[in-house]
Order: sequence, then structure tokens, then C-alpha cells
Amino acid sequence: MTPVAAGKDQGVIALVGTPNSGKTTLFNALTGLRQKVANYPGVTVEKKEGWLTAAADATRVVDLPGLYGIDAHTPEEMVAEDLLRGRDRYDHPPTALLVVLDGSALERSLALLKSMLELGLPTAAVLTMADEIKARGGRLDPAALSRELGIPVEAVIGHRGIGIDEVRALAATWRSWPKPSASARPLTPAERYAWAGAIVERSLGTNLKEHTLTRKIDRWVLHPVAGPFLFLSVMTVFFQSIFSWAKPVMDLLGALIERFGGFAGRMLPEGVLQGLVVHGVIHGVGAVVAFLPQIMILFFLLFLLEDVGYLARAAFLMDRVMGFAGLQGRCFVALLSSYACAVPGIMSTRGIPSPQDRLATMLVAPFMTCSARLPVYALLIGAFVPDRPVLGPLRAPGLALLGLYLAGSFSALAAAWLFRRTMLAGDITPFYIELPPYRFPTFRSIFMAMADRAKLFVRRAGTVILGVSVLTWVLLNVPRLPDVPGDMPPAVQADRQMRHSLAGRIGAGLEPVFRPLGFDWRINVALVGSFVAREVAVSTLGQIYAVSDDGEDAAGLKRVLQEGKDPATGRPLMPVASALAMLAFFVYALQCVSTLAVLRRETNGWKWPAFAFAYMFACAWTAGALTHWLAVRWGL
Amino acid sequence: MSLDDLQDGQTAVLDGYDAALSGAWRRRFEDLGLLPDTPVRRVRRAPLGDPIAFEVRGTLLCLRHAEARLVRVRK
Repeated sequence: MTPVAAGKDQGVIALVGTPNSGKTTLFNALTGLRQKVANYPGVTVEKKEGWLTAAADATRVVDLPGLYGIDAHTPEEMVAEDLLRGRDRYDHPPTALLVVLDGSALERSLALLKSMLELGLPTAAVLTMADEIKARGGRLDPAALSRELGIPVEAVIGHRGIGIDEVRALAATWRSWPKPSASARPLTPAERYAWAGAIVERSLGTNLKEHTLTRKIDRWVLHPVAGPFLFLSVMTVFFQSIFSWAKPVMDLLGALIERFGGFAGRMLPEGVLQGLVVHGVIHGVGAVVAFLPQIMILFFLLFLLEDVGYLARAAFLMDRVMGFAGLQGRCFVALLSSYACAVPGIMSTRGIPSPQDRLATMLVAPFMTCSARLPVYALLIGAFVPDRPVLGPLRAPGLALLGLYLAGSFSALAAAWLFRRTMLAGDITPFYIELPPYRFPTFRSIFMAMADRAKLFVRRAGTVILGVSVLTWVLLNVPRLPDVPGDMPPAVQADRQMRHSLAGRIGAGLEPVFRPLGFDWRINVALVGSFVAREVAVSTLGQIYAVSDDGEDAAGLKRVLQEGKDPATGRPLMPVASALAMLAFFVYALQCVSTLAVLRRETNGWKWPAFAFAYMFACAWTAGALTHWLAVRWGL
Repeated sequence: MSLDDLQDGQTAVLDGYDAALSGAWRRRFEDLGLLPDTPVRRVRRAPLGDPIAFEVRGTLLCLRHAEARLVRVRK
């Protein structure tokens, strides 16, 4: 976040609202800044800011985490309270407040508005979800509400874009918003709700009917039998579709990268440059980029479930399961986000009130199968699990993937259970969670969020992965072996060169460590690179095996894995037992520099990241060795 | 009686809090709208027993048995 220069006549509008009130959709509309919007309480974990697009002068809009009251209970609420009370060390207090009133929970929103009015800043309000009031038989006139409250009020329906222009215009006039007189003493929640109740009664006139649609859906979604069944079905479809929907696009991308590599190979003169560009850059980065469709599908489904309000129900259904591990439903949200990436997952633990729950969740979040593991899983499963139907529409690869996800998830819970009973023992703090009404998804914001993720992924491929890929290529080719005269086949020669290289020596040096897992020096080279970022393993294997492969065609890393033979010994390059051990290793190992960095930031030191790395490495090594031993015993 | 004694579909009116609930948490529950004289209806519990969903002021709020026991209600 860039600190603000003490500019001329600059305004800071803080967006305040209860969790899940449509605040972030509004923020996107006001600033045009891309940001994740979701129908789940507690998505905005940091304050985000952007510039007001409608204002002539520089006006900043700050999106605060959702609040129920101004007194903070969690690290994320502390961010909001500090800014509002002018205690933020890095930022000025806001010059105006734009309070979001959630039409589906009007009383609570008004009670929050009341505590904001007590701050005595220029204030205006935006009524969201006005359509939900109508659906429940009520009618709320923003003009009448504005007269009641004594501040400007605009109504919006976010997912249909109604009223957005009016709010933009309203925000530009923040200097003329009325400034309520600061009250002598802070009101109690009872007094605020009494005030809110009276306003609701006067401006709505009638009692709202129940949210019937939500209640009807919940009768099934939360049903003792149908609910868990639906939950498991949703999860199964979730993982199945990641595989089957992505396949055609992935094949196409793979073929394109292949042809591009071939084209570049023909254009460049034979030699070091050709090798670097074709193997280091195009195949290295391409091997990772080919998994973009799967990652997009994962995020699409995750955002969709969040947006319609199902994730909160999943937390409700899973709370007891989390309770076995000494955690709570809120930790489930952080762990579920970690299926996409452990970094936002760890950051979202800021919404967890208990310090022990929070630390335990952060320490086990990297066990959740993040999207960076997906390329590795997809490659190995694709190569070693035959694509045949198992049960109806379920096929073996999808089930294998589901199994890996389950292994990670259950291990996370087991580890949390252990931590909460030993070094992080402590009281179980009170728990509450809100179930938002079901809402029609805002596809625009889902696609915006997906585009964001795609950008991040491609940027990662273009920087970290590219860097490691090129470095690996250099290490694999330096120092060069003198050309051996004679009739040695090129493949054997290339393999001897790699074994002679720095990377080959590192891999060979690690052989004693990883021999129980069935890894040879080639797999070790891939493993070393993957400790920077997991998906690097794919590109490194691509480099190693494309070189090892007999013949010109570097296509189909998958086929090389299945059929490739060590040119010197003639043994399989990747025996099935080693592949399975590698999968087991990747379930557990903390191979991600970004995760270590965010752990350091969130725990203020290297102690916990070092601990997490060490215990996860121990788990990974043990799981890998055990898997290899079992696989060999079963004759795989 | 406490909120934990309600059956599915039953409504009661909130009376107050047990002294075992800390001041900060009591404050949070009050911010959520769980105030004296507020009607609370138990909707259903989760399949595994915890938590329980309650309807409070038109919203669905879930508490565990342990917290529901600390909220006093009257019929």
C-alpha cells in the first residue's frame, strides 16, 4: 500500500459496513480497482484502497474489513478500529464515512451506522440488497430513510449495477455530507438497537416476511442427511470438474507450447542459446502455464460457492468436524481458502478471535492442497493413474486427486488436534457465524477475481518460475563435459552431461537422503527447485526428461514419465513406486517461499516458519518413504 | 432456561447473559443484536450436533451449545 503524500485538499472516504453487506462490490464500482468480492463474512482481511474515479480531485476510498461494532475482537477488526479512531500509525484518519446498509439485515446495519455517527465525521449511507427487502414484502424509500437519518442515502442493487452511478456522484460530494454532532458518551449496543429498531419501524412500516427462498433452500442444504450428502457431492464434483473440464483446453495449450518450442528451435542456431530458450524458457515456463485452465476452474468454483452463500453453510456443516481438531468453523474458511493458496488462507486467519486457534490454523494451512500442487498432481496422476471409469461418472484420476486432497485435509486436522492439545493448549473461545441469504452470483465480479488470479499465476510463471527454470537450465549445463569422441548415442551423452553438471551433483549428493523414497538424482534436482515453488518441479522434470528422452520430439512429459528409460542403465526413469512417493512427499512438504514469508510476517519472527518447515519436511519424508516401501512390497 | 433448551422452531425472548461469558464477548453478542427482549427462534442444529442456527432480527446466526447455554431466555 502506498502511503499518501500530504496532498492538497485530499479526502479519504472509509467504506464501513457489516460483513457480507455488499461493501466490496460497491468498492469495486467506486474505484474500478480489482478486488475479491464474496458472499462470505470476513473476506476483506486487509484494508484496501483505491482512487475515486468520479471525483475531480484526489479522493481515496478505503475498504475496511466488515464490522459488527467498533470494538475490535480480532486482528482484522483491529485494522478497522485503529483507522476509524485515528490510531493507525501509517495512515490518516478518514475525512468522511460511507456506511453500507445491508437491506437483508437492516437493524444490525443501522446499529453499526449509529456507532459511526458517534465519530462525528461527514457521513452518508448506501442501501444495498434493496431487492431483498422487496422480495420479503417490504418497501424502503431511500429518500424517506434519508430524512429519518439526516444523511444522504442512495440505494443500489450491486449484481444488476442499479444505482451505481448515483453512488459515484454522491461520493464525489463528500465535503457537503452532514457532520453529525459527536455524542457525549458512547451509546450501549442496547441504545443503538433501540434507535435502529425505531427507524426500521417508521421507514418500513410493516414487518418483513421471512426470507422464504433462503429458508426453503436451507431446509435441504442444512438437512441432517441431505446436507452432508450434498456437501460431499459438491466437493466431489468440485474436484472432478477440475480434471475433466480443463482437459481439452490443456491439451490445446500443451500442443501450442510444443509447436512454439519447435518453431523457436528451428529459428535459433544450434547451441547454447537454442538450448536455453527452448528448454530453459519455453518448455520450463510452458510446462507450468499449461495448468492455467485447471487453476482457473478451481478459482471459478471456489468464488462461485462463496458468492452464492454456500461456503458459510459448509462452515456450518463442518464446524463440529473442526471441533474434533480443537478448531472452529471459522478456521474451516481459512483452510478452504488454502485450497487455492496458503498465502490468502493464512492472511484470512486474522478473522479468528482466539490466538491459539489462529496459530494452529496458520501452522497446518500449508497441508491443504493449494493450486501450486495441482500441476504436480495432475502430471503424475495423468501419467500413472489409468483413465478408466470406477463408479458411474467417476473416473480413477478424479478419485485419485480427491484422495490426495483428503489426505492433505485430514493431516491438517490431525496436526491441528495435536498442536491444540500440546503446545497451543488453551480455552475454546466462543464461536459464532452468520449464514448470509442465498444470492444470485455476480458473474462479473467472479470473472474479475479469476482474471486477477490468472494474472498473478502468469506473473509468477514469468518471474519466479522463469528465474528458477533458467537457473536450473544453467546448473544442468555447467560445467560442460568435454565432448567424447566415438559413437555414444546422443541421449546417453546428454544424460552424462547432466549428471556431471552442478545440478546433477547436487541431486546425486542428496541421493542418500531421498533413497528411501526411491528418488534418483534426477528427481532430487526437481525436488530442490520445488522448494522455491512447488510447480517448478514440473518444469524441472520437463527439462531433465526432455533432455534424457531419446529422439528429437520433446513432447509429452507424461509419456516420458511412463515409458522413459535411463539411457545408461535401461531402468525406468520414474518407477511407479517413486512417483507415488513423490505424490506423498508433495502432500506434506512446505515447498513455498511465499508461504514462509507470510508466516514470518503474521507471527513476527522466523521461529514459527522454521518450525512449520521442519515438521512438514519430517512428515513429507516419512510419508514418502512409507509410500515407497508399501508400493515396492505390493510389487508396483 | 437458556437458548440451548429451545427445540427446533421454538421462539423465546432473550433475558440476559450468564456471568461466565466474558465482558468482551458479551459485548460482541450484543453488537450482533442479541439484546434483552429480542425474540430468538431456533431454526435447526447442524447434522453433527454443533452449531445451532438461530434466527435473530431477520438474520441467521449460529452458536455452539457451549455459547447457547450462556444466553438466558424466557418463553
